Parts: sequence; structure tokens; C-alpha cells
Amino acid sequence: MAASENVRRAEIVVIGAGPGGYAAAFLAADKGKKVALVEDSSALGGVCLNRGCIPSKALLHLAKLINETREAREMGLSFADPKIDVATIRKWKGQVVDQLAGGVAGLCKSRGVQLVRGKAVFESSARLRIDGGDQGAVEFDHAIVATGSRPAVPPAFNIQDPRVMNSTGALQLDEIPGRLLVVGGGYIGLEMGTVYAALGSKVTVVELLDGILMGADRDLVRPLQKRLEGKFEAILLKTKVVSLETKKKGIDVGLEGPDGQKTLTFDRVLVSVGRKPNTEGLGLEKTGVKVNAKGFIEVDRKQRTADPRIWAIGDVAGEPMLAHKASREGRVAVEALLGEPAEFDNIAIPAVVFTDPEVAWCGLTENEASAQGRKVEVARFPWGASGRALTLGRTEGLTKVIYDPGTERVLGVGIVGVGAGELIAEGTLAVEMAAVAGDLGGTIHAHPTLSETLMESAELLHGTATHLFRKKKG
Amino acid sequence: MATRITLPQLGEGIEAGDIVNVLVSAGDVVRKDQALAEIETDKAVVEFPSPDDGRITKVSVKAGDHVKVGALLFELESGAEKREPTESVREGERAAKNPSASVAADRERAGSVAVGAGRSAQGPPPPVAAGGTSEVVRLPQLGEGIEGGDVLNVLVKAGDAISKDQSIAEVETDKAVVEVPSPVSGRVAELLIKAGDHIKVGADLMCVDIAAASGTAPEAPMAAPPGPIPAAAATEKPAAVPGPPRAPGGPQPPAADGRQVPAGPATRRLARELGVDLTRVRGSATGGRITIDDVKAFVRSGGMAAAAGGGAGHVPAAQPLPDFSQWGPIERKPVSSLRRKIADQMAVAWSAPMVTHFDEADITELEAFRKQFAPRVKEAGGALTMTTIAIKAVVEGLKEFPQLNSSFDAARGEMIVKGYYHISVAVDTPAGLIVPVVRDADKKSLRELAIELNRLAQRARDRKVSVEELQGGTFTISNLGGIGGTGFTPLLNPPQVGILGLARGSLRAVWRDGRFEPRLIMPLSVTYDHRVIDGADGARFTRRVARAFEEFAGALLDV
Repeated sequence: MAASENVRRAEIVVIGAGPGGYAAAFLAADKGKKVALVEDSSALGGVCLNRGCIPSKALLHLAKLINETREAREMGLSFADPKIDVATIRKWKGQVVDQLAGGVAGLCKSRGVQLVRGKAVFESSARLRIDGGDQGAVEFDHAIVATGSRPAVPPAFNIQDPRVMNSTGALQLDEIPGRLLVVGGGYIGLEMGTVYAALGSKVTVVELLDGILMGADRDLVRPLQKRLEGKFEAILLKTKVVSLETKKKGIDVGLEGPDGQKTLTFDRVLVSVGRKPNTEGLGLEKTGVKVNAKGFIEVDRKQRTADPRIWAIGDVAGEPMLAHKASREGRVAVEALLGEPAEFDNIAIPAVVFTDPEVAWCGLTENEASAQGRKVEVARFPWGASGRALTLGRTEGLTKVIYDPGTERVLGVGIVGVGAGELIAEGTLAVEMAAVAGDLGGTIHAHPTLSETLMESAELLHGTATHLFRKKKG
Repeated sequence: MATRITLPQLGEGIEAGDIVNVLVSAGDVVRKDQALAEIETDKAVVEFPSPDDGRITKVSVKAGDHVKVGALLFELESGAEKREPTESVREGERAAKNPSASVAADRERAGSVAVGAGRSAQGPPPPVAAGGTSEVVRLPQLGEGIEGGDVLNVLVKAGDAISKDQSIAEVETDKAVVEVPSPVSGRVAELLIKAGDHIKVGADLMCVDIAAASGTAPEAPMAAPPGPIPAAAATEKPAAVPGPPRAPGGPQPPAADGRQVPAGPATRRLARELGVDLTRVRGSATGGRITIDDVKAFVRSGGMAAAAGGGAGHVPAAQPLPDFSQWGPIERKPVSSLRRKIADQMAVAWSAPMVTHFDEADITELEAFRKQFAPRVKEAGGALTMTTIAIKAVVEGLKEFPQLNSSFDAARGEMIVKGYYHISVAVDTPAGLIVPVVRDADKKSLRELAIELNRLAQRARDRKVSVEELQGGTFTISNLGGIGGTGFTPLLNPPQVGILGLARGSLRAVWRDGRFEPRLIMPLSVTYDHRVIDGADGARFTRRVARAFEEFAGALLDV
């Protein structure tokens, strides 16, 4: 290392400029701290902004447009088949990402957050080495580790063929493959499958378990699965990938399922079997930070690690690996670090799958309730009784609210249907605020909107929903 | 307008008295200095004179009452037009003149309050004089173990219209500055406090005129409507602390199954700020949801004190003091809430059977080390003081003698040994002794401790330490070496069982290796709770800490 080393000083250094890291850095700066934000990627915003939430939603929007033009035919509106210009799509998606990343950089500047480019490696509990970029070191009072996660790719899939992709590769949209295999029936695989299917690929999903989206209640998944079965070539459950072979004409994939073993050929394979926290190579062993067997940094409710100077937030700090969880943790970490009585005491972290229809839930699920042996009451409002859903031609949706039978407190909300991702916000607020059925039912919801389904779910609990007749219990 | 007549200071050290006789009744016209009541104190029976000419509108005491200084005795309408009292007032007058009859009458009327009230419980309430009636607002419970505080600011002035729950004063307790809300709506008739006053829970803060209305409502509504309260409602004795509408203060059993407490994020955060255990707060909203108001009401109603469960030891009441002025001039100065808290805590500490053990440490090498590295630590924002080093030394000792890092649960006959090392450090501040806590001292480097302690001490001096930062200590260090002294006997900081005191080091001729050498010797003392720590262990621990100082520089080689 050079003799005249470039050493910066910060009261708080944040490692990683994703949605958790930049939220933390900005709050710390707003509270008058001298903050450095270290990022080793060229663009700010982390996976979410560059290789996750944002580009995938841009592409999903196109998928939705394509599907809607097709479905409008039944309503008497016909469009010609879309012309798909992949290069322009890539460019547009890039513009969206660049604009947001530029916005983060601008916010850094206006808040006086010192941006340090390069890879951060702990040398001690008080000093970081910066490799590459702004080579040098950062000395700090407190560090917040927000290094995020990366796609997990089991070694068997690592066959050095660019046609076998992870989510990052799939979002690059190098081409529209004729046949695409999605390995893993989680939300990333289903979202990307939806995009490629709308763009014209024949999509097959394989899933080891006997259902897709296993974190969600089955009644929420059913309408989605039914629709995907129409859009996808196949959804193969309880099926395992046993071999991958590079061939000139494609990738030969050996599958083993309930019907035995078979080999199918695909033009591309997307591996979306989960994500791994980025805790390696950070020099954490030079600090007091403890990392658990799964590679997550151990933190308490104030986001403190075992090292009194170091805090951790977001994907590195544990499941669920969601941007909005990271942002909240970032704010908690900064406030707690400044001695404020903050804690990550949230009851509900909303989960949204941006497929078509969308699936969203928050708080307690029915699966969890039954696993805990907890007695709950569930009110389900099918969207067939919603005027708004009918006008959209999308009545497959369902809104359900899970209540505590004694207090009628809203414990969880689950929604499947168009716009579920937006609708879940009300449910999350209801759970977090400890609302009861009467609060949801007694709040006026605009007509005609899908949000009325939440109000009517609450009324259903008392057997008095306006648009759905149910016999009262007992 | 009515003037409130309260019990004045009757003499040095006299805080209360017994009403022997009430000499007037409601409706009576009185002259200035006319005796209104006879009051017996522990020194004498005194006649209590009227401060002004006027007409008595209300009698708030009866013979046999024990009243404290500041308590409301009468209300007097000064310069009032002389008019015949109404029939019902006459009845009140009879009742007041004959206390025992009044009590009997009370029973007949099924508990309604008749004494001194210008109103019959049987007949319709009489029209009330223009100007309405007044209610005394008193200082409610502010929190766990808080008996009073200093008035920082009075937020209203006489003549102001105030509404229920409006903040009327800021009171600084030893824990935080608390805003005191008004329990009623009305107009401030008279302020009874000013900034700088030290007031106790239950003290009169102000007199609020509750605006006159139709006078038809016979019952006092529990929840004050946004508008004025009907006048008749307030003719009864002023309530000590008007209850919130749904009385949320009562503790309820904590959720046994660990389910989430029904409270929103902002409420949960406030609870953490105030140190309130939400499982003990009863929610007033639908489904038992706890609102921010519920948390505040819980604190006000003394729920925290109930929650704490009176674990503190018995503190005997102070003996009455003689009248010092008989021997020369004196000045009575109020003491701060902090000072009162310190006094209480020290009294509790004194009740433990404790022993102080003395030792000395040769800190010649250590002081050289300290001086060498102090500038570097200073650069990092810390101060490498003997106290910082003492934290390290104490942690070493506590690791070997965990019984010093414990608390004694006498009720259960158990010793609670802590698996963490949170060191309390006594800080001398302009306001008085404050003891913030350095958490997890065993996990921090000397530099980190120096920085943290420096900041904590500064925050303590600025009175900015949070309640959280004052809690959880397992052992205390008190360093008076900077001031001087050859040794002292520090008092325990209960429920801790040990405290280290450092006195000033001095150069002494010490016989070493066959000759005298100048060595820097620091006296130190450890006070320990003899209930759980035997003398030999106390001595061993003290020696161990002394050795940690002596071998400090050498020990660093192994870290």
C-alpha cells in the first residue's frame, strides 16, 4: 500500500448503497452526523435498483400491457400482435434504472454524504480498508453493514454456459429464448417467467416442493397458478433437476419427477433457487461481529451486532430479504445508534409477488397460524362480488383477512388479484396499528375500487357484507 | 369572582394541621381578619383569619379534617353584593355548622357530598352566581418513584381559557421534563405555582373557573365535553386527579403467550421512551388497542410505580427539625429533584450491611503509560483517565469474583449473578451526582471506553443522558482522585453489591530491591454488600483490582 495513504474519517460509515444502506446514510446525515457511504458497484441503489425490484417491474409492466391488449379482444377491442424491439426495451429499462441511481447519487451530494467507491474490508472494529476505486481507508466510530445478498447458484448449475442465467442475467434480456426453463417456483422465478412468457418464450417452471410460492397461503396462490398454467408451457412440481448438459442446440436438462425421469431441451435456463447474504470477504473476522451458519450477521432488535461499534441491516442481517425491510432496519439502526429508543419491532412486513395477478400478504398467514396451533378466524371476500374487479375483467382475485377470534384484531391480510401489491398497504397498516374488524369495516372506502374488498372482508366477519350474502354463524 | 383561601404556612416545619372548628358557613358575610376556623398544629391551636372582606361561597373543610399547607379551605367572594342566601344554601349552612349532623345527613342521602357545598342533594341545584365555580388542578403522578419536580415553565396565565388536556406547565423530574395536562376545560382563575417552585404530587397548581352554564346537569360528567362543563357539576369538592374517561391506568396481567401487544408503532415507541411495559397498560380503544393517551395516562396514574412493586428498602421518615433561626439567620433553599432522588437512593444504600476494604496500587508504570497514550486517545475524542482504566481493572476483577457482579434478591433468597459487565461511573455534574452506565465494558477496547465515557460524562453534565443510559449497571466506580483525599468509604449503588472508590495517588518512598524508590501509590477502596460477599472475598477482590492496576501495562502485552 502506498505510503501516503488516503484515510478518510467518518462518524458513521455505511457499507453498501442499496435501499437499506442509503436510507441509513441519509438519515444519519439528516441527523447531523459525518457519514461515508461505501459502494463497490459503479451504480448506486444496490441489487434492488439495478438488478432486482426496479428493472423487473419495468419489464413486468410491459408484460402486463401485452397481456391486456390480448385480453381486450373479449371486450371488443382488438390490437395487432405487438412488435417487440428488444434493444429498445433494454434501453428503456436502462433509463429507468439510471434515473433512479442518479437520483440516489444526487441525494448523497445534497446531504453531504461522502461517497467512497471501492470494496470495503474491515481491518479492525474501527477501520476499513478500501480496495479499488477510492483506494485507501476509512476510520469510523460506527459502521453499518448493508452489503446485501446475491443469487445462490448451486455448483451443479455452474456449467460455464452463459445460457444458464441467474436473475441478474435474466434481467439483462440478452435475447428472448424460444424455450425457457425456470428452476425454482419462488417469486423471482415466477416474475421473470411472466416477463419472458409475455415476450413470447415458452416457459417451463420446475419446483422441488409440491407447490409454487410456498411461503404464501394456498388459497392465494391458486388463482395465480391457474392463470400461469395458461401462460406457461408447464409447471412441474415435486420435480428435481438432475443434470444439465451444454449442447449446441440448447441445454439438455434431466428432470426427475413423479412421472419418472425425462430430458428436455431449453434455449435458456434461469436458476432462481434463493439468495445468499454477502458476508464473505468483508474482513468480519477482524471484528467482533458474529455470523451464523447460514452466513447471516447476528443482530438484535436494535440491529446491533456482537461488536459494539458495528451494526447490520438488510439482507445480510437475515430473512426476509426484502428492500423495504432493509430500509426500515436502516432507519432503526441509525436511530438506535444515536441513542434513540428505536427498535425493529414491526409486526408486519408486506410480501408482494409482482406476477399477474399479484399476490401480497402481511402479518400472520393461515399456514403460520396452523403451524403455531393458533386459533384464528378468516374472512374471505372473492372478487367476483366486486364491481371494480368485474369492470377490469379480472374476477379471479381474493381478499382475506385473518382475525383473532376474541378481540377481532386483524392479525394478517392476504390478497391475490390485480393491484394486490398496492392494496396490501392498507392491510399492513391495519396489522401494525392493531386495528380490529370494526376499524376496517367502519372506514369508508371509495367506490368502485378494489380496496372495498378489505372493508367487505371485515363486514363478512359479522355476516353483514353488502355485496356478499353469508349466513351468520351459529 | 371567588378567591380561594388555602392553608398558609403556619410556622417552621409545620406542614399540616387538624381543623378543630369551622367558624363560618357558606353564605356568611365575613370581614377581613375575622376568624374563619380554628386549626390545631402539633405546636398550638391557631385561629385562621379571613384575608379579606366578602362572602363565603364555599366551605371545603369540616371539623376533624386533617389538612396540609396549601389545601383549599374556603372560597370567598370579595366585595360581593350582599344578598340573602337561598334556601338550599341555608341547608348547607346548617350542615356545615353541625358537622356530625352533616355526616348523618350524608348517610341519608346515600353518600352525596353535602358538607360545605352550596347545594342540596335532594332539591334541584340552585342557580350559581355568575362566574361559575372553580376547580383546583393538582399535580398528578408523573411516573415511577417520582414524587414531585421543579416547575420549569408555566404555560398558561391567569385569565387564559384552557381546554382539557392542554399542557399547563412543564415540570422537571429527575428523569425527564414532563408536560402536565389540564384535566378540565375552563378559565385560569389563579396560578398557584411559578417557575422554579418545587412541587409534590398532589400539590395545587392552579385554580380553574369552569365557565357557568345552565346549571341543570346534576352529575359531573367523567369525560369533559369540549365546551364548558355545566356549573353545578363542579360544586363538589375538587377531585384530586380527575380520572381519564376509561380509567386505563389499572394494570392488567401481561399477555402470557407472548402475543403482540395491541398498539401502533408510534405508541410502542413512546412506551419505550417512557420505559413503560405495554403489557401492563390497559387499552381503551376498540379491541383493547393501546393508544398514546393510554400510555400517558398509565404514567400519570402511577402505573409505573405499581409496576415497580416497591422493591426499595424501608426509608425512615426524617425527624422533625428544630427551628434553626432561633440561633441565628438562616436561608431555606429548595433542592432540585435530582438532589432529592440522590438523597433517597443514598438512604436506601445505607440500609445495606456493608463493609469498606482499603488497599493501595502502585501505578508508577501505569501512569507513564497513561500519559504516553492520552494524547492519542484525545485525538480520537476520548479521555484516557484513571477512571477509564479502572473500568478495565474492575472488569478483570469481576470476571474472577462474579459474586461482586450480582444483586441480592432477599425476598427469594437468591443471588442474581449477571452475565454482563455494565459499569456505572459516578459523574460530578453542576446539578449533582449522575451515574451513567458503560455497557458491555468487557467487550470494548480501552480507546473505545475512553471515547464512550468521555461522551457519557459530557452528556451527563448537559443533563442529556437518557433514562436507559442510567439503568442496568452492575458495579460502580467513583473516582475522587482528581480532587484529593487519602481514601474514602463509597456508598453502594443498590441493587448493586459493590463499588470501587479511587483516591489521589501520591509519590512515596517505597522499599524495593534493597533501597527506597519513589513510587506513585494510589489508595483505593471497595465497599461491598456483606450479605452476599464475605470479608475474605471482598479483600481478595480489592487486591485483584489493585493488581490489575499494577500490572496493567504488562497485561496489555497479552491482549
